Amino acid sequence: MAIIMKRNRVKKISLGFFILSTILIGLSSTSITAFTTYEPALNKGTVAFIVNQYNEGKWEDTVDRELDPDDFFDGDSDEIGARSKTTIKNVGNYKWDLHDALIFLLDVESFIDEDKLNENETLFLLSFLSKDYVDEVYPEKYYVWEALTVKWDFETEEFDESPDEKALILPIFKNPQDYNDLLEDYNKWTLSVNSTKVFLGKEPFPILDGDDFLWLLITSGIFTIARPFNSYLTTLIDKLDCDDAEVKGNTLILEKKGEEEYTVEVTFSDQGMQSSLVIKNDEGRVIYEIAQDNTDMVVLIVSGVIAASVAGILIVLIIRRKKFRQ
Amino acid sequence: MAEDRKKMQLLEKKEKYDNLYLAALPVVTTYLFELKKQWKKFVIFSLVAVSFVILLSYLPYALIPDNPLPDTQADYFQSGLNFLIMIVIFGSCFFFSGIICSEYGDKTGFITFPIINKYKLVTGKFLGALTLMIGVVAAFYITLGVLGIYWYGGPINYRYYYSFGIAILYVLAVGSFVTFLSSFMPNVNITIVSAIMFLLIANMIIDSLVMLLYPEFEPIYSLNHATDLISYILVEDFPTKLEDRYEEVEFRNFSRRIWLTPTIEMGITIFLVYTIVCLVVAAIIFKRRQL
Repeated sequence: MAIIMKRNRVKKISLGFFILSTILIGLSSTSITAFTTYEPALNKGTVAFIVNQYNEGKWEDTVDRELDPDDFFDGDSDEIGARSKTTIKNVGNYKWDLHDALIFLLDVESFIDEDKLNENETLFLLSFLSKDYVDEVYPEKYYVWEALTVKWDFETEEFDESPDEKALILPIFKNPQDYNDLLEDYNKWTLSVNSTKVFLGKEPFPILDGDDFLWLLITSGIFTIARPFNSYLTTLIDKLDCDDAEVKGNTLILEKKGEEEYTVEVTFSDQGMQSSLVIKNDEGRVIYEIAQDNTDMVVLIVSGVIAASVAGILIVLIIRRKKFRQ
Repeated sequence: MAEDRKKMQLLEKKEKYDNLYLAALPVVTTYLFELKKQWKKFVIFSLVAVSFVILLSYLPYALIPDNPLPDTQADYFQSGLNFLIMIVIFGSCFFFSGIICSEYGDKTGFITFPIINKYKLVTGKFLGALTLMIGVVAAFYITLGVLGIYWYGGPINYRYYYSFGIAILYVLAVGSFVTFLSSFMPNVNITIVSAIMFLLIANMIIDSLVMLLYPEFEPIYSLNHATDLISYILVEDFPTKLEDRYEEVEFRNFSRRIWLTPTIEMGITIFLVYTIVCLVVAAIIFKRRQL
């Protein structure tokens, strides 16, 4: 009898230990589940944008006297009514490294002005940009969803048949923390190249802080985010340690200083792409606005509703006629 | 006197219109009858056309994220039009195969021909079948066009309408060819089988043989070659020079020439020649055929 009671006690203790360990493991693993997992929201298809507002005088007084909107957003983006469009061809999983970021995201090749350099100087500078060199010194890989797109720049007239950019890549970093790692690597790379550039008497590559980098991402036109958008943006500005940025819902608000202080509000669509960009002066007046243009989709929906209605009426008429004959 | 002459002229004019109306009435009646008779086939083929567009031009892009969309709307239409040829061949075989031979196979010619002129009867049937077949092709083009707007936004590339026009000419040519077969075949089934065999298999064999024997000869006799124009017209820079319209392919020291497209004029001419020749020969055979 005593042996049976002892066995039961052992069983109870074992069961209690099992339940306790299960609870403890569960508690400890909550820190793992607390990490947000991001998902891409991009779908194949075409997104069009339109310049809704542009106050040239206010732009010059507030943003920049030298540079116009087309210096930031390409094409005829300094004309009200100009439209641009981007077709997303596919979305896939890839690994990026600093070399990819230097070429596709930061476009450092455009800083190397070959006209002002002789052949040896150009080759020497380009050696810092070679894939072998960059991969060897900065081996870190970043996981991204990559969308292959074609893009038509802003135009006031009908779009040309062929796109202006035939292989534009939109990267969505799976972890927004990676943007900060990338920025740090970029700044290290810049420091290593700048000594040579200065030695050659050329202008050095800019060293960027979080706010500069964020502005560069936005003006590049390829900055795309993953779902949940608010969490992604909040993490991004935290990790980049941005002082002049805040997030409200799906909107990123940047405080900028040009000729005067102004704000830039960038709203992201349900696909994670920049759907609108509004520049306001310190009085809250809109100086410049780019918005998503949904005209085609409205036309498609209206046509679909009309076609469905006509088909429905025809079917009802045929059924009634058949019944009448019977 | 002048008034009487005017009245006479008016009466003559009215009589002329009345005669024209009476002459056209059997054609119109047969045309409407053909539409009513074949509408179920039309609905089935239209559904097949729409289904194939969705299966081949929507689902592969919607379900496979890695499968890239073509760069432009025109490229998308070009890739989506590949299956149209099959729809036209099968549809035409079913719509046009009974135009002449069914009158003999079912012996209905005994009833109708003394009452209605047999040429008017066949013309009405041909126009009815042609209308329905154009409807099927239109359903294909409309669905693909809507998908083109869905993926790329509007407006639809203007060359898409040219492609539709050429597709109608192709329907006319294939329909005429099937009508020609129908004029001497004993029944509908044999006409359908023969037409499919010829348009899908025999044509391809003849093209391959000509390509082997005379590699530099452009197959201007071939309907297959002319059909390339339906999709190739969508290319932004349509090739105008001869050397741009073919590709030389070399395989183990053997070179062969693949023709990409005929010129626009040549393609249209091929379709019209097929149409006219087939209809004229069909009319001659039909005239001599005994019930």
